[in-house]
Amino acid sequence: MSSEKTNVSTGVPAEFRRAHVVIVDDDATNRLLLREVCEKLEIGIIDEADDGDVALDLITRFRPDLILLDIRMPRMDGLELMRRVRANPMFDGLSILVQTSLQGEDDRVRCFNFGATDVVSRPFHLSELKARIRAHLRSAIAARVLFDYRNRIKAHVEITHAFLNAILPSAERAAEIAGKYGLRCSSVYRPHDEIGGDLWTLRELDADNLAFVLLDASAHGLAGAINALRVDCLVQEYHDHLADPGMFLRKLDAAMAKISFGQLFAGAVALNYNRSGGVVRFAGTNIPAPLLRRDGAVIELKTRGLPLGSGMVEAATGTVMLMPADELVLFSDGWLEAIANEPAEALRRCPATGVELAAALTPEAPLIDDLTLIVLQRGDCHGV
Amino acid sequence: MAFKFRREGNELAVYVSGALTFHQHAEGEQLVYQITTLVDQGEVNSVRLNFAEVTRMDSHWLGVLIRVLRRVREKNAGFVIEKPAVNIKKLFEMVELNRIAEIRT
Repeated sequence: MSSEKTNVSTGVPAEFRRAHVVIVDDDATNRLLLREVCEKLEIGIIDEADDGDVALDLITRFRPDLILLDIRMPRMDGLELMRRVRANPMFDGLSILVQTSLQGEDDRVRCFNFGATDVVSRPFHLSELKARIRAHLRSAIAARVLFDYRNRIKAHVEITHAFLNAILPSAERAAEIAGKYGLRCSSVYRPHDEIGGDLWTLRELDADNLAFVLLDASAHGLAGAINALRVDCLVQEYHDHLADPGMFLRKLDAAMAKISFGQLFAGAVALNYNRSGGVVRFAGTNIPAPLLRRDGAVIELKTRGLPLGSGMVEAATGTVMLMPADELVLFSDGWLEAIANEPAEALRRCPATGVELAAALTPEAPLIDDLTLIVLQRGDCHGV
Repeated sequence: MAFKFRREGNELAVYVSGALTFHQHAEGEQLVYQITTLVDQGEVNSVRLNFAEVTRMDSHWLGVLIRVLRRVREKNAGFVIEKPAVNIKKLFEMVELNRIAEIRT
């Protein structure tokens, strides 16, 4: 918001000098009168139009803050102009102050129905008109400041979104890479706020070993995405350790504690699948336990531990065999918060299997946290 | 969320209430600042966080707790979290917070 001060001698807010008003009236004397009122208010840009066509062109090109509009005009009249302006979402929030000689209550209501912000009947007191212009201009400027701010934030979010997308594997790409290792991989990534602190990646260690990392950095939205991108830099640096997921997480923890000054924390699970033996080596900390569904029962893989970034992570590497019909589900705590049941119970009851499981487990309701959910299954299983 | 301080001799009792999520990060910074200032000045040698009225907590606040805990331990002061609700207790168990802090139910 502008911190400029009001002109003490005239009482006019300083931001009026950057304001833009368009006067639309076919009568030159009226236009002159209105111009004088605007000049007394120290409005910086004052344009005039003698009919609706010219006004629409000006409005489209410059998106002014306020329109002072007459109704009765040749060619396009004031009502038609309002109809066209209000039909265009680009002009949401544009203030239109109608000044008209139409006196009837119905006429004034009609003006409002066509989109007038306010209506003054002629003849009007100049002081009243001035006060109304001032009031509408102030709210129009406040709306414009918010509009500009929203657009700037939107641009920031879009750029950050592109950064995240550049490092997040698409579901199709992940499935393709996993396929090379004899794995079926289906995945869902749904940030709570367009962008978020969840991040996951897969990495081909060698011809036999494929590693997965799912991490959930603290915070949501932009702050979460920034944290996730910071952690991703360290994941890149330490990925050589992914053959031993526990070692990888301990390295990551120490590095995060060193750089973050106690401001950057995350939970993560890392695993390494060996296609020759069907063996999964895994470790996790501060993230819900990955679940293994086997013969209708669900096993929790232990991933308890302090957050990455605490400098105190002791993640040990565990081992589990992935049998042909097993389904291994990795997820961030966004899933925990979105489901009514315990995760193991939710998975046990879910009728979907294989590649359809990830989508079936994803809740439709709006999320209160970022959600990542990955399902892995051996490609040589029977059925789905 | 809200928090209230009470000095009981050399112990600082902090009564925390409400939801502790990323949206309350400013309050989190306040809490870290106020507790660590008192501990750094040697005003208290033990900190007790009463969590009886805490309804929800996310990973951001786990970070806040760990920051407080680390500073308190550096000064060899005591640190206790008491009366967490079942959902909060589960979160503490997931991160094995009891390894580094005393949790009293």
